[in-house]
Amino acid sequence: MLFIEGFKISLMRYMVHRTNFILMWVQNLVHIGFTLASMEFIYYYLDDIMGWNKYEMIILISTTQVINAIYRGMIRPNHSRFTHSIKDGTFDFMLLKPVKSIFSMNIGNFDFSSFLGMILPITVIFLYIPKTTSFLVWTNIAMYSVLVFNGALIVSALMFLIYCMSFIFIQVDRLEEIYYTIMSIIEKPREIYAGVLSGIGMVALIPLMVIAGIPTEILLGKTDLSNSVWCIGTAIFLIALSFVNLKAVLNKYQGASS
Amino acid sequence: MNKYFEGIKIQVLSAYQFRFNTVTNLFFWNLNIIAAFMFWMVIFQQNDIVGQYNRQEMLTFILLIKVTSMFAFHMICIQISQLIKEGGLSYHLLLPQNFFLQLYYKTFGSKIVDLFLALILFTLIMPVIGILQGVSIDFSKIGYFIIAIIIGSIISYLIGVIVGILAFFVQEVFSIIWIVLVVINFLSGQFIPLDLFPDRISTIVTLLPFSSFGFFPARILIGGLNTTDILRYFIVYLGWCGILLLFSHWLWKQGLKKYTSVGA
Repeated sequence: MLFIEGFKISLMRYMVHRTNFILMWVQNLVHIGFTLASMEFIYYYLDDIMGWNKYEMIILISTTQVINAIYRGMIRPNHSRFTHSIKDGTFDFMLLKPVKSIFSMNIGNFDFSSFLGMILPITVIFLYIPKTTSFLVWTNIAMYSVLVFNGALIVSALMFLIYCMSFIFIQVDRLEEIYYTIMSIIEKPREIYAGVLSGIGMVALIPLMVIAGIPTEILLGKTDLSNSVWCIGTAIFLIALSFVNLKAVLNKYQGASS
Repeated sequence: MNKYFEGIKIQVLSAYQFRFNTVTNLFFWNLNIIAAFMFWMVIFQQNDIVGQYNRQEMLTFILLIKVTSMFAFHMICIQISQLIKEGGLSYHLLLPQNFFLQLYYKTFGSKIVDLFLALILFTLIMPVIGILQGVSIDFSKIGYFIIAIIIGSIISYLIGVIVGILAFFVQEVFSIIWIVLVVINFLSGQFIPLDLFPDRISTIVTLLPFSSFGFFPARILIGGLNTTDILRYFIVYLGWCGILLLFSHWLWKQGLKKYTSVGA
């Protein structure tokens, strides 16, 4: 019920600022345009990168952008709200609400412009898929869709864990940069990291590798469905960790308002 | 002049005060470079040359473009537009100092701290994963590089000022800012080196002001430009400096005529 109310209020707010929606589309168009241009320029000199041809690479990048749109549209506005509220002391009111803290810290506000930004990358995926593979397996498409949302869950849980540092350190504005680093890492094939970062390094990067890489590989038939266990397992682990972590940091929280 | 240098000092102290924020940011700055390095290292496992670049030149380029991007000040547009939109500009207009000079020095101060710490972290992390051996810098051109960085920082700052000033005229300025930032990142060579573009596009793009705070300084230290070329580019970029300065000055005056705020 609260989720629907939050959705309705955000929709009303969004209808007031319709120009934002058009501009967000222009931004997505520019971003996709430059991404495609970059791939064209790089692949002018190359046939493939670790077995990924130009079209497969574009689908991987577009998948990353879909995950980005889900996170930025549904979760990020709430993450920035709670980090700011810790700094200015209004987090006390969030704790007083008759709702589970983890719910109000992650869900409630929507950014429709960002969320609808997924339409363009999805269009690109549909346009480029026929160029990569001669046939599509429906189970793979279904699993891909599930894993894309799962990827957004992993990003959300990771960012939540990172933003929870606001409870300990006052100034965490620049943690925002971590998000862009995560995005730039996940939009590249995981084979790239396998060579250099073997052992511990690779294990540390597993949460990132499964966000967009494995779903895209499943869609393109480059890996089998059993790998989806890694993705779902990672999401469950990180969400559980978020709960435990929140409990621990809330014990340290000292209100600054009222 | 002292009052402006105070701005640099404040930023250094602030970076020290919020150590966690500073160090985390720099750690991820390094991680970003490592990701880019790995991407290109894999490409060079399969190819000896990509465009005009061999492995060593490309890795050096990536490192240098990240360093030069630290002195690209166009992100200042966000701060300026926020001040205009939220009315905080009124306070700055009352101070006995030039608003833009003060902002420039403050930004410069924070970037100096960033660069210093980033390079310390960089030299600690890179040898561990054996990437640094792929980097080769032409130190004979270091003087030109420093001049290019300064010119680039001024041009990027002026672009940031112009985009920020748009907040006087446009309601949805933040969406416009993000569009401009994507364009700037692409045309300054942050995505891929500008000379990997097709010849005709590459010639045009390198003459635009955006390459002055990314591609151009990096290309100097790789050693791909002779002195005549460098001086020719300096003249072009100084021309852009003049144009952008005049335009930003005119736009600022027009914007102030429209500016209203309550309280502050």
